[in-house]
Amino acid sequence: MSVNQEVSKDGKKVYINISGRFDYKVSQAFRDSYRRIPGQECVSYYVDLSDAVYMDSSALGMLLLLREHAKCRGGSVFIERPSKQIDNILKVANFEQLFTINYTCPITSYAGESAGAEH
Amino acid sequence: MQKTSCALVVSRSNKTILSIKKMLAPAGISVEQANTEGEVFSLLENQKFSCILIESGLSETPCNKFIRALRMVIGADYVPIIILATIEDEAQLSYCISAGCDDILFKPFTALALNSRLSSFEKTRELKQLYKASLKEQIVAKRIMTNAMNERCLKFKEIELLNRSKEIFSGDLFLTARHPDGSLNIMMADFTGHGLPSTIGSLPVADVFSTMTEKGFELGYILENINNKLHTLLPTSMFMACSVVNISNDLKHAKVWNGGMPDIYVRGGETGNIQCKLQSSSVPLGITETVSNQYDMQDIELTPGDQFILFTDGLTESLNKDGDMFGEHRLEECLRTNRQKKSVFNALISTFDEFRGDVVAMDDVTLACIPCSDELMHENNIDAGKSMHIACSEDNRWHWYMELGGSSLHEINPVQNVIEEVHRLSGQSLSTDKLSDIMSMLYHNVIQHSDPADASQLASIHRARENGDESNNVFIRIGIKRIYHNGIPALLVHMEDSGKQFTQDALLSSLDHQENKTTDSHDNEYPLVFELNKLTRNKNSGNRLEAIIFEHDNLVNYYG
Repeated sequence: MSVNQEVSKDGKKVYINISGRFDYKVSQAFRDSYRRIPGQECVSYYVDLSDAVYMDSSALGMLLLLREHAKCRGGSVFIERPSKQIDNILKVANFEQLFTINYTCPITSYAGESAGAEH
Repeated sequence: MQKTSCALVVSRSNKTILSIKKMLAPAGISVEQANTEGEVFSLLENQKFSCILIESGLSETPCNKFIRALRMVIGADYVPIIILATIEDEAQLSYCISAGCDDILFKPFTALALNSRLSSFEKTRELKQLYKASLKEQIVAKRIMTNAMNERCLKFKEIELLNRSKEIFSGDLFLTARHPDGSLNIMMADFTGHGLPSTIGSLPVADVFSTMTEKGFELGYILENINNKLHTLLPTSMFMACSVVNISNDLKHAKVWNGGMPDIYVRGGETGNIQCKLQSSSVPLGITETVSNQYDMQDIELTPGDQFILFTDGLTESLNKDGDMFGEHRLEECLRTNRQKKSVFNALISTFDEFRGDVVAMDDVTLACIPCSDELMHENNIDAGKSMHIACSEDNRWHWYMELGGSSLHEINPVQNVIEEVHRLSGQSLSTDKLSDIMSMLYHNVIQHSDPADASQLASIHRARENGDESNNVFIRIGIKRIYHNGIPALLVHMEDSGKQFTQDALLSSLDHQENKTTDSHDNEYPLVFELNKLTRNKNSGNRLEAIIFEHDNLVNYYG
């Protein structure tokens, strides 16, 4: 499992990719991926779950924390390309009522625009 | 290191002993010497040691067996065992470590090396003490919590419930409450995560659920109140998924709501088929403020005998050794293959346990099978006294505890309750007859022998009650722990009462009597093996009995 993060040049888009199990074990890395960046106003956070194989309720809680973090700073959160298994978990929790979920969006990456970081 | 601590050195070499004495003296550690295994065990009976140093090649039996025996005698006390080895012993050392040895020192070693090792063990000892204290606090807190929850929840024989928690505290919740119109409200909930933080929200939820149901509020309004309460109380990252069912008094209708839980299954009473599955229609509680129509209930028609099957995602998301999830497909397959059975509860547990094997659970697991029967609507609250279970997922170990005192002692024969709880926690791996026989025997033993001056402990309890003597603190405690005894899955049954302790001779005689009686009465139906372990017996006080019941062998070891 790992959490990868990239920030766009203007710092307004943060791309977070989670691979493997998205559970309580990555909570610190996930939190660091959006807290340890400068200038956090009006940022769009893209959480790519295409490589995640499972998420537990703690992971849903982490998404809620990110949502609050973004909301307080005029930003927004997008969940991108959840796998079928992850999508089932999001659907059971009815998280489409709380987040914008993109199923077919192109791979969003800002590699080259700024240095990425792996946690 | 404390001034009073004493190390036991097992060696035949006076030179080694003298050298170690010199090394440990500056740290204020005295040294006791043992030349043989027999001397070691005899010293351990009367004295406690801060550590044991064993010179390899000394013992008559292989070193790993000797260490295993030492660990059994030392029990739960923290006594580090260090092997003083030569480089030639290297091949044997891994066996010693797996047998319970803590460290190895290759000869020759310096005073600094030895004292450093012992200082490091002291830090571990402090950590262990802290952990023990924390565990004790949690157990007390769990007891308070369980009592508080019992007061807020009705219990029904008809409802079959499995509740296994990953840690001492469970983040899963199961509640029932009777509405004034005679209908029954049922809630199964799952807080984010597990352990103590997950269980904190249970009390206010149980309070709102039971109080508002009893006052006649509709479920939708109750959910709204619980949501508002949790939204205020819980941190952002926490929420409570829950499913609720209201079964009408005439068993013809039910109202259902599911927010973030796995599907609720309705199984046909006559056909055994899955009648319908009720999906989650809302975000879990505690995340957002209530919006209109969020708690609109779904109406379904029932036929008396239909069953609701509720479970938390800990069941379907449990993994086996290959990393596969149990999943709803396995659950449904089990329902299909057991269509003819009146209840699928035991079949589900067996299938689940077989699937999971020895894999450590990642989450709390709760499963409830609720038959829509007349008994459910007319049965009174069953007061099972004070009881709790502490379950740990590791190797499917769990611990269940019950204390009967005052009125509950007078009114309840605990044997049946214990059997039900054991089956609830472990499934059907133990024969009911066998467990019932052993429990009855132990219970009888505790009652009859704990106070020789009084022929019947129960009689004294009853007298105390009749005399209004509430200060008479009479109790019986029963604990069941699923353990691995020498690697074999077993149940450790512990019974204790408030009576006077009885002597070792009386205990031996009572157990011999039980042994003969049991062997006679069962005609080898259950080949009971009694092993009275001298060391265990000496440690225990006379007002408690313990038995180890092997789950698969029909063997029983008794300890008094």
